[in-house]
Amino acid sequence: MLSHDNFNEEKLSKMLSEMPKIQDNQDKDKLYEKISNKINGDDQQDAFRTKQKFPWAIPSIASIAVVILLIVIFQDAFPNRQYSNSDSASEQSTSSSDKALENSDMAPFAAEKNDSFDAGKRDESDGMTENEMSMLTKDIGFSSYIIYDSNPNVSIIPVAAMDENIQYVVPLTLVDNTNPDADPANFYNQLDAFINEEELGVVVFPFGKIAFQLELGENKVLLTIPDGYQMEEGSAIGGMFKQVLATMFTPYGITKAVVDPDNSRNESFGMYGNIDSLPLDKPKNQSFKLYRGTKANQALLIPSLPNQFNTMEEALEDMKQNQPDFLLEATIDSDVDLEIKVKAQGVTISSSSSKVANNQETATMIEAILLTAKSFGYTSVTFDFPVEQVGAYQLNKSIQVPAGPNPIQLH
Amino acid sequence: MRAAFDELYENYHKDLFQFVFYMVKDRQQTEDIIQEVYIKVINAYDTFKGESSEKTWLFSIARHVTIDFFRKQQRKRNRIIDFFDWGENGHFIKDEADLPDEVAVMNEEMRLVYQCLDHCSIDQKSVIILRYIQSFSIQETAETLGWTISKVKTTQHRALKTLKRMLADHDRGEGTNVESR
Repeated sequence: MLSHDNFNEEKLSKMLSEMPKIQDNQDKDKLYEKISNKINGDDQQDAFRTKQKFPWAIPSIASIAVVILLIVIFQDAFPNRQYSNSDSASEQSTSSSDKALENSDMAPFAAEKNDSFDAGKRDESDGMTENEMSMLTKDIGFSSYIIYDSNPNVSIIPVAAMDENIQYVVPLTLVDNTNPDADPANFYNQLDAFINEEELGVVVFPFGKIAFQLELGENKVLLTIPDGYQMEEGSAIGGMFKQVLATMFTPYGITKAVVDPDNSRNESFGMYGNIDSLPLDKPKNQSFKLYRGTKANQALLIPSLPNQFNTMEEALEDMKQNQPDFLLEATIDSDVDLEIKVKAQGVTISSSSSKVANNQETATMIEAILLTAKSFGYTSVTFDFPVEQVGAYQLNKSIQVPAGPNPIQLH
Repeated sequence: MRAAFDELYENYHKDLFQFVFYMVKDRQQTEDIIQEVYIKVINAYDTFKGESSEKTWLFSIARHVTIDFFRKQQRKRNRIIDFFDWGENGHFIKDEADLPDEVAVMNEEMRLVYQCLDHCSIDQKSVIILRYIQSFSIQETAETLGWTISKVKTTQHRALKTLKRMLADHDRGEGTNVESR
């Protein structure tokens, strides 16, 4: 029997630092060959997959052509009816359109792609393409606060923190460009490892050792709550629990958080009562403003959660108000008058104000409006402004709503 | 692609192999993970923004790939446990990986410390390996793990405490799990 009574920290540290060096016995060239084969193999597989798509792609294109032809014939045959529809559409109010737009869900991120969302994107044939969108984040020329899910080699994970006063949820988007199939649970189970609280001026929710497991098939997130975990009842932080979960998980289509009964001893959500399931409502009808923590290096676009607005006009009006007590800055200049027209999937925002120009303020306004429009269920926004270009945003085309706000590059 | 690989290999391969090996403690699995790391790094090489050093970038990728590996292994293990219903003690069943030659020749205390590393969490293990075995500074460790410096210090402290407790348990004869490996 050894005696380890003298295993003090110093001795332990010394022993650890004297652990043997483990050599790799592989030949460098052979290792490169394996890696190279895998990379090239993947490329070939991709090419093969592309080739495999052609047999059904051609009939699909033919079908689309037939549909377009039918639409053209239909329009020619009933010109008056078409005019009437378009007329009534332009008179639609923002609020009345909400119901019709309920199906245009937020983009699910990461590995689970939603076909209906992709189809929605393709419908916007006269809008900017996803590739054009992805260029925006690189070439905008101004600070950007949004990200598009356009690169198949990148994983995008919606996460959330709180502002330093624990008043608002701060949505963030983790961007892992090294792993297209990253398991989102990896990120949720150690959020504080990926969110730099000091730099962003945010507070990560103290989930402790609560483990998350996404069960997308059943639209739920399973929470394993460790023995002894205490939710701070009645505190500001406790009240944010549901909102933080909703911001992180509803983009996947998740509708409830469920305590895993097999692995949790504390089978309830504490302050929410003795329940083992918590409904998660998708944050809707928000306004987005700039939040800047007192010691933060950068600003973030955050929603008005839990405040909701009845119409987009009201939300845009709110975005003109500074709230210095809450470290929130307006994202729309109070002198800028905006007019809103609603179409089936998108919305048109018009302004003739001379303050709308090719500058940072307008770029931020555009991004805040895109996020706001997304929260109202729209998939694209057309900006009818006196300038044609703001940063890399070409305003002569409709612009799709982004995948998420406040991207954080992980590498 | 070859030039990027050569540069990474010359500068970091030994440290990278060592880091992954101490995380998974299996040579074959280490080789597989290392390949995966190089593939990810080479694919993402053009997008490396240079905000962190190349070294911390490389190691943070290695850590993520290793965590992915652990998760896949855990899922497999769960399926097996479910299938055979090994009950509450199922999680004590571990892979019987042989001690590497480099460790086998060391004295008993060193072998024991090596084995006790398995009782640290992944975070604790990462910090111990980076700080002591790889001699990373606290700053480098924080960058690699994407943590604050204070979190590195706290995790390091807890890891040493865990190791001390395991060694003390073993000393009292409660370390059957350690000795059985």
